[in-house]
Amino acid sequence: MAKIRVVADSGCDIPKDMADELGIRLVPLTIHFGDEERQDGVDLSPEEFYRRLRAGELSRTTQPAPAAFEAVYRALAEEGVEAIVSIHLSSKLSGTMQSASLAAQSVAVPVHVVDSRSASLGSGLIAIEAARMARDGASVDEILERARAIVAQQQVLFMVDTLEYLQRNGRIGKAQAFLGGLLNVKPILTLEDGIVAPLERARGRAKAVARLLDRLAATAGAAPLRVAVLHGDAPAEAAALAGQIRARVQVAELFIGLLGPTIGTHVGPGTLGMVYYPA
Amino acid sequence: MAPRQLTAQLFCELMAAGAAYLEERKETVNALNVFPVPDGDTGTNMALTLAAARRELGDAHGLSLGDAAQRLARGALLGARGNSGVILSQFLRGFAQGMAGCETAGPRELAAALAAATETAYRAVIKPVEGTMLTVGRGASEAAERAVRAGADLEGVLAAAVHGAREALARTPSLLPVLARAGVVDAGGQGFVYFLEGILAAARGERVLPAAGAASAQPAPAGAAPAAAGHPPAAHHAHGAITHEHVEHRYCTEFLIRGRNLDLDVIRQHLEPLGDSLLVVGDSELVKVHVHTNHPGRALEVGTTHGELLEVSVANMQEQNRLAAQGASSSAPAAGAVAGTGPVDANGAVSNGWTKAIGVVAVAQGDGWRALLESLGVDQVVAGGQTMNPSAAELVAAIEAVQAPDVVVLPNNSNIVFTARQAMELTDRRVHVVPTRTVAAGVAAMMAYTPDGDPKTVAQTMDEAAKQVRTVEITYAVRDSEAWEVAVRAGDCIGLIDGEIRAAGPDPEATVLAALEQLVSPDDSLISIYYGQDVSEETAQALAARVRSQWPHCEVEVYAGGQPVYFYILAVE
Repeated sequence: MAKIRVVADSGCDIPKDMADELGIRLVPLTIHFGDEERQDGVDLSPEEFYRRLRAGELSRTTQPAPAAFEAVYRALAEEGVEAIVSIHLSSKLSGTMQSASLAAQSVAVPVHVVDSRSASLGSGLIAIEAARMARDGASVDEILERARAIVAQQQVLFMVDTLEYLQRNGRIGKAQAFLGGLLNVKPILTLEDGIVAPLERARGRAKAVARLLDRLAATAGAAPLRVAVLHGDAPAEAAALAGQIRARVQVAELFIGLLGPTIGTHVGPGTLGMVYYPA
Repeated sequence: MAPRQLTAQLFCELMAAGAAYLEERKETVNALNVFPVPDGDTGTNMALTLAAARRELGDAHGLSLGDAAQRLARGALLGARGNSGVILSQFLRGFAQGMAGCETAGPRELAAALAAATETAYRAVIKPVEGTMLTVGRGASEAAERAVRAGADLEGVLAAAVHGAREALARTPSLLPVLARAGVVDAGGQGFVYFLEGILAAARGERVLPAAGAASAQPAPAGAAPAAAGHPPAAHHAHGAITHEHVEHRYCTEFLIRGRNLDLDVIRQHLEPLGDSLLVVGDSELVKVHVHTNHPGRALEVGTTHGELLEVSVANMQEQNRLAAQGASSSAPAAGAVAGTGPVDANGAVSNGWTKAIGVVAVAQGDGWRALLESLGVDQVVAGGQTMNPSAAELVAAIEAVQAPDVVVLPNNSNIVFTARQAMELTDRRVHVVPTRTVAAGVAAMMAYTPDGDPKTVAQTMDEAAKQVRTVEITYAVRDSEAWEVAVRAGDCIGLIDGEIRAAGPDPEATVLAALEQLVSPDDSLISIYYGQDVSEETAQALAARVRSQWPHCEVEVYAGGQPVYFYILAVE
């Protein structure tokens, strides 16, 4: 096993089999339904989560306690790992970074905590690349340099069916400006400096998807892209969007990722989006 | 008789009381949580963190105070929830470090441990932000240290800590603009104050009572939050709290000092004699000073001896109170106006009192349109349209009523475009006219609007978006005319496509269909129908059904525009 290991959190939406294959350890955030507490990806599946959300239940998230990170770091240290790269949700969106940073101070093994300034597979792709580099023998410095480069280059575009979820959970950021429309309007958003920011609105889903593609094409540049299509339980739309992306831009690698309970709590069902950067 | 020494047993009781007091008031704290605090409800998270800490502590039987504090801290660290819980747990950790090795503690040790708590909490946070629980914790520990120097006993130190925490809490909106805009104090800070208040009450032998009925779920205005929980209002009212109370130190004075090797303690010492509510924060190169003083000039002089001054702001708090009281008795400002206008803005929270970078004025007629446009973010809707063109002065008044340095104007009528350009010359605001010719185009423009960014770019993007829609307007002919593609008789219904008469018919609905036949292409996907004041909703819905069946590839949406003169306005895109 590599001497450098990657730790991420459940908000990075890394598929389990891929995490297992690359040795990425995932620390779950806690999902609350009222007084009921579940661990994202441990005892709460996305299927159950979206079923309950659609049935009208409200969820909240809580960052992992520092102790949860400490336990993972210690376990890795005991396996003989020499360094840990711990890649997490934007510190502006979640306190997960804070918990990881605190835990990092209290273990003997060096832990490099990286603020992805992103979420879902936006963070996850960084962890995946880092883990691949670690597997292939890269040094910590090389991995961190690449991670920082991705953080700097990565772009996020997404549409939500409603801003209700972002608002309810306090992650609405500057997109506040898009609240409360009487028209059937789909907000198109991005992450800017790690927080949610508004780009524009579209009248209906079809127009929103068209605008996502236009914006992707306008910002893509010449180099082939590593892309993740993200969806809040809308697999058919995500697959169609992936096809349209391949038709519009050069793609080096494309993932389709389901937004898990952690991010799903904050954006809601029907969210559709993409993260991308030069591969 | 107040206890002279803090024992492990007493510590247990105090912690139980503090936790219970906060638990009772957690909904009040939750309600303050209106800005993006990472992860969850602050009050609940703090209460749960303390509950976990107390479980770990148990009854502390046979423990030294140092060990009891250690156990509590461990429980808090393990059980920390949310950012607020994590920071609270760091306070408790620092407190435990300060108490390490102590069998019991007197006032001096207590104050020292509180100082250690503050220091640890600040160090634990990657980028400490003032105006949060950290500030409140420091307010408590600094007040405790002053009390010790003044010879206070255990209870006196706790009382000073509570007082210092409350003062710091009242200051949080002046340190964090987002709080000032929301009109609240910091939630984590409020939770921390409750925790300390519960501890003090127990130390005084008072029974900890549930919160008064005032623990409502409504966010309380800044400065009013402590009052809502049954305390006297904070001593100063820089943030819109309404009072005629005399202000001892009249000028809220704030500035930045930029320099080298700045020593916060030295600057603090120099400023301390000048007034109260002193806050000196920052690092060796940039220091923010906040002080309430009757000698703002002297405070600035102190600043210049250390470095160069930036962002100087001096506000007369007495005048603010008077204005705030006046405002309350006439018409209370809307929530969006919390930051106030230029002179009332004590904190530079929103510089010059702007609430956003780019505002919008739109012209429209009809309650439905007004509501639709406002819901899309238009700040001021000026009544006007085809038969009622607003004056440039009316537009200027609307532009200047918007709290933004840049204002986009959507005239929404070709007869108003020039008036809007005229208004540009009559105001100091930077005005950007997006020459929309129909209100439906105005809606399209609003799809591309964002309140931030480069105003020219935003205006340009809005213009491009407006051009993406084509508009149909259905009205009636006031006289015969042969001047158009279709012959028109007085009383006929006529359909204008992008301002040109292109269809005529016996009734509005038939005219809509005739116009759409010329207009709708396979690329279009949305037809919006806005019906006017002379059309019933049933009639509009019946029309929509016909449009849907004729153009099944399009979504059809129906809204009440409420406009006069035009039976229908339609947007095709």
